[in-house]
Amino acid sequence: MGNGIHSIHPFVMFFYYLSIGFFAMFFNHPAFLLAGCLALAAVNLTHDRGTAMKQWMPVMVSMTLLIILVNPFINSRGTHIFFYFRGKQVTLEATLYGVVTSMSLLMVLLLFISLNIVLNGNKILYIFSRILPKTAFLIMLSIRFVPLLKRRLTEIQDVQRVKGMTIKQGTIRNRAKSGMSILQILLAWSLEEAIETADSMKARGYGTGKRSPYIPYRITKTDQNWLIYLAIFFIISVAGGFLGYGKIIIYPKLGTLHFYPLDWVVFTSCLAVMLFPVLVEGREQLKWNYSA
Amino acid sequence: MERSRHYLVFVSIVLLILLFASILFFHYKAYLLVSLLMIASIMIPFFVRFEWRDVAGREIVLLAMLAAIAAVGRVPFAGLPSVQPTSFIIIMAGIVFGAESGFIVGAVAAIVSNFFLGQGPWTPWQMYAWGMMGMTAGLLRQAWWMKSSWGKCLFGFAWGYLFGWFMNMWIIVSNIEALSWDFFIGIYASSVYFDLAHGLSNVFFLAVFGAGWMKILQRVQRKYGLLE
Amino acid sequence: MELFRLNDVTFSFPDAEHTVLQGVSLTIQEGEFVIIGGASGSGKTTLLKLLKQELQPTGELKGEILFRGKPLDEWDERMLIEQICYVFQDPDNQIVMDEVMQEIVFGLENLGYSNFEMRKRVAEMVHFFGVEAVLHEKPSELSGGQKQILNLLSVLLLKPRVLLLDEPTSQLDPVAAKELVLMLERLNKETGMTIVLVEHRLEELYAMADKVVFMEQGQLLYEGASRDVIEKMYHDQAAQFLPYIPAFARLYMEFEPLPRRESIPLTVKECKQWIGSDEMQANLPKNVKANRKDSAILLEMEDVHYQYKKQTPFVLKHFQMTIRKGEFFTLVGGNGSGKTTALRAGFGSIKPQRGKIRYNGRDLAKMKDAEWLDNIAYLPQNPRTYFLHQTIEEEMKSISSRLQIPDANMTIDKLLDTFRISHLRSRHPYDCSGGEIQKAALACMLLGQPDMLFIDEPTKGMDPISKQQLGELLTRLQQQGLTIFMVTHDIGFTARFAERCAMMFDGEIAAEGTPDELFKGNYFYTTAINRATRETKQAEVLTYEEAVATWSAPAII
Repeated sequence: MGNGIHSIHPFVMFFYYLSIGFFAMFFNHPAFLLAGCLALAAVNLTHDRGTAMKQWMPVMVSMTLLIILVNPFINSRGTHIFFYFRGKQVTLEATLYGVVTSMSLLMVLLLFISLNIVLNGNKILYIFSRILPKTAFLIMLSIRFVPLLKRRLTEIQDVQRVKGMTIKQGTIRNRAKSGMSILQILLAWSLEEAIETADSMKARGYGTGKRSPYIPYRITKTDQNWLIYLAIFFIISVAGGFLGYGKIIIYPKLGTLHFYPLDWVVFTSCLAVMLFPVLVEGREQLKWNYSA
Repeated sequence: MERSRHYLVFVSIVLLILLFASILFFHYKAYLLVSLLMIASIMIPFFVRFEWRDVAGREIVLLAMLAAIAAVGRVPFAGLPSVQPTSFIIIMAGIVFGAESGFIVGAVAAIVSNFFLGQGPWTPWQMYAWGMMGMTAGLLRQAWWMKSSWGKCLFGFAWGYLFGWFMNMWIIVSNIEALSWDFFIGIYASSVYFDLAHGLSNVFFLAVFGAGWMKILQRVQRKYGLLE
Repeated sequence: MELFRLNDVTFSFPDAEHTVLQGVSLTIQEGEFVIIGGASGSGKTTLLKLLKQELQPTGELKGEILFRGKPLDEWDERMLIEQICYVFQDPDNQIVMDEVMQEIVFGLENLGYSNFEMRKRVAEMVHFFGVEAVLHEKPSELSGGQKQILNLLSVLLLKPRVLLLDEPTSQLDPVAAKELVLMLERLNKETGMTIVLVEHRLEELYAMADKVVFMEQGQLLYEGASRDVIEKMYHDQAAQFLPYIPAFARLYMEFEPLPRRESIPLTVKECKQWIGSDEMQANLPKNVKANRKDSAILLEMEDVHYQYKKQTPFVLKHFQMTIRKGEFFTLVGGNGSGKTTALRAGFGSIKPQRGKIRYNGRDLAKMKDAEWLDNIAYLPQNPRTYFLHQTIEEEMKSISSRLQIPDANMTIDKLLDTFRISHLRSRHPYDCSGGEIQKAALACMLLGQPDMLFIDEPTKGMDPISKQQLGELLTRLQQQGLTIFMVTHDIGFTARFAERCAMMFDGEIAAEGTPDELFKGNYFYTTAINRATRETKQAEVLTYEEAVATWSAPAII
């Protein structure tokens, strides 16, 4: 089942990602969002030393910069005017709004990068199979076909290339035609073969009655404790949010960014939720270092 | 049938409640969150119908295979940016196997391809857009103009734009408070080239390969014993 | 106890002219190991599918099929699913889940077993098979042999009484095939499970089988214990079945002056005992085929290195190979030795990181595809990948119009005729048998009159008769001047038809020569008949045909 965060039950992890996604779109205090981004970056670092994050870096940077730079110029709401650009006012409010939006999106992106690593294939399907079993099974089957299809594609490309059909050389029209011909063979061949897949399902009793899904993950005491931990801090954070903490007023006129004592409470409990994977990994590290 | 209709009504009510709740409670207008919930709620009835319907093993395998082919369809076109056959495959699936199957193939193709390219907040939007593409192809397949080659091409071209416009939505929704005409037009203008390429490649594939693929899929339909 | 009884079973598909099965009567006892043989299209797969209620094809069925004394359709559906299990031919097609563990429990999930029961059965079976290490792998990362064991495992978890297998080893390499067969033998011996196996590769199976069944055109021709069946076939001089008999049994029947049924050898060991071990003077290879040292080099690879990804090890290293014009060259080697990679490099599908490949003296890297691809042809392992059109004729027409062949129709007719597949011209390629579609693909390729033919593993899943036809066809083409480069696992086929061969190991060619030079004297990597005749009173041979030709008189033993 893996170590550290990978040993946590998928439900707990799913709850974690839901909470983070909720936070990213619920709070709009720049400090909260910044802390969220940093926390998630730290979470990603514990997964794979940031390898996946690096791959997404160009997307994240360009999107963030685009929103931050463009928003003030296409939006002229707000009262604190910096300067005029082509007769339009560029305001503090619009700038801050851009920053808040981009950070919220960044947080969501970071969340998904982490989710793609932790709740990979089978785990996320396991969650959905409890709600939509047939659909989840269909997706599982489809995912299982993908590597098979890729291998078949290589075979077909080899054969058809010698036959004179290539996507590497020629006009765009001919290349697109070759590509589609290759797909056509893949389609005809694979659908033909898939009958045997269906037969093998039938031979093993698929569709004879209610399925009893195999449950590969067991909720342990640790999982329960973590879930309680997450739930408590999530509730505190959301309750605080409804009372207005962790949020600012941007339009029509920028409100205060000041942190009240209760803001700190909400902030801390948010962090406690967001840093949950780091805590799990840290605990494991400590155990490794100090036991035996 | 009856059950799913009840379910649809039920979901619509939940949807309304969600919307009101969001306006009442979310002072800070978490539009992205609400829109995600909305899209999920719109799609749930389709999936639930699929769950409750008596689906034969062969049909599941067929749909899964079509979705997988739509998802890996990009691979042979790696050298041709902005040409992707996924939409074409989904449209063909809708035309031959009907609206429901079209929706399932489209939505699942989006999930599956994102399993390999990375899931993100765009996944539900993509699921919805491709799902609708397959569904409308299935719904309109009996229309007289859809039976002709030019009708299919027109349909494919239109969806090239519709898909792009719909996918722009998620950027707009997440930034809705900044919405102004300039922003709106800017976003759409920036995607015009991609949408055109998408539409034109749909037209090309439908015109050149549409008939051949119909034959293959109909042969498969016979072989699987899935005649309607 | 009687497990299956078939009483005069006749079966025909809906719109087919002739019946697939004709008056088949057969009994299968509990605990028996039954083997069903016959050419493709003889109805043996249909027979097997009729025994599995869920897989019965639609069509007209006459006669009765009894399972433990009661007709199949009177049994409870669920009980039948559990007691009669089925493994298919293709290892990939049967897998539905994305993780080995989930695949194994798939059947139990469908039948609504509790998680406790699933874990218990998995623990037990996984231990028996020793596959703990791959339990959490993705099936796509397993080898063909491992996949087939996974398929076996996933039905065994249902605790069947009888296991039906449809050519389960046909897509596997010889080592993996043997492993699977041994596992079946173990299951049969240690648990008493009944096993019914449809198979082409029968050599080692005769020794294990309690009963051998042979079918032809829907009829059951032979049935009985291995030695009985062999004797009866020889008695009837049933030439069409003789290639199915293990080569050493054929030798015995051919060379033993007074063959006795009980002493027909079924294993290498028994054969050696029959011939009598006595060190013969190693006779030098006599029939050295034409030496082509003087003809021009057509394909040449020089110090080729290739790796698929940066971090993975080199698949080809210091790879050196020359193929001369008019040669029939074969590359043999185990799984993962890099032989398919070498073939793909030969027709330019992969570009080596280092080294040079020259075709007709010109560097591949410096040529455009269009300049030379018309001169070669490639027959893939699965010829289905070749066909783009709905019928064989359409395919041929589209190729001839692309190549601008004059008198296309005439040429097509002639080719179809020489390949004896004229009756298939308007058939969908996928509706042809493995041998037929291969011939059709070859016919299409010859339209372009290539100089060189690349072949990948052509005998996979083929019955011995089709194999022989293919070999003869290739020899004829070679005589007409075609250069052939083949990659295969099939040593028997290589020994019979290839002119020069090379053995690949760890990314390079380990040894090279005529089949005689290369295989004679090997311990494992050779034909069974060679193992049986080595160090005996008779001359060492590679094939049955060679023995017939060289062992002039019946041996005096």
